[in-house]
Amino acid sequence: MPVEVPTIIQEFIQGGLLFKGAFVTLTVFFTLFTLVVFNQVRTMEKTVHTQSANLVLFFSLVIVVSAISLFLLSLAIL
Amino acid sequence: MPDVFVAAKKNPPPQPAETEPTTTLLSSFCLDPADVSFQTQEDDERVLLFTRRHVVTNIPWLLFFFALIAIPFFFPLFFPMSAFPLAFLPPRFAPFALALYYLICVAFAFVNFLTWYYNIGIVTNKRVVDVDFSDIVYHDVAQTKLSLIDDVNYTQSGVLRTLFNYGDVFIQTAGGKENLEMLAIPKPSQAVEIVANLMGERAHAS
Repeated sequence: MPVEVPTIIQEFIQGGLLFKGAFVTLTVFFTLFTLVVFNQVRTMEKTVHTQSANLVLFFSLVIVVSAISLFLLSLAIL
Repeated sequence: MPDVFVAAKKNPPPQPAETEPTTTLLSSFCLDPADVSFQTQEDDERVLLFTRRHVVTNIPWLLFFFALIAIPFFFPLFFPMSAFPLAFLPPRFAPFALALYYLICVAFAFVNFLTWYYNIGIVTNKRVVDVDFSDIVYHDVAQTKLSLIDDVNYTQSGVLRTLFNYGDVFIQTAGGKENLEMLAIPKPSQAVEIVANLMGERAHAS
């Protein structure tokens, strides 16, 4: 007797919700990683301060914002 | 006897205002930097030498980063779209997957840059500070006073190191304290000379 996959699960997979969930989870973990990096940059900037430290801090902030934006966009659009 | 010829005195060219050296984003060797300070620096402590690994040590991960950037452009040339590992995904996922991929590549490059940027060796008029930063969540700050330094030497071996004049400086400390290392720094002979001179001045002062 063939096993019938419940309709809701079929819709879950074919509708892309499974992949959306996986993708959003990936972006969440990546965002957390960028936040850790940003925090470490702030800590190191206090340990050793140079003239270009603000530029490095700014760039790490850009990466964090990009990760958060991708997370929000994937949540809204996918 | 009257002068036969007197040359007209020329006004000396205006001397440029003396500016203190400052580090830049890619500085790996700076003498007397005016813009460097660290957390445990004392009021009368002056930074005499600021070093990082030579810039060329970043080439391996830079090449890998450019290869990662180029992969999406060359993948369709070698594999048909049906064989693409993510071909089963709905089409609307493609731009997001690509954006995430490139963001991960940029993060990879940034982490490698930070590993280079925050691995610093500092020599002051009082001590030597070695800041090690690796694996993002680990950093170690080791320092030793000039009076506790027993010996300082450097090694420079290999074609690249000789060509670009960078090497490893080893600072041996007295007693059971850990030795300090400044690996792959530019002009290691000059760094050793600076530390040795400071040691000599300390010895004469005492």
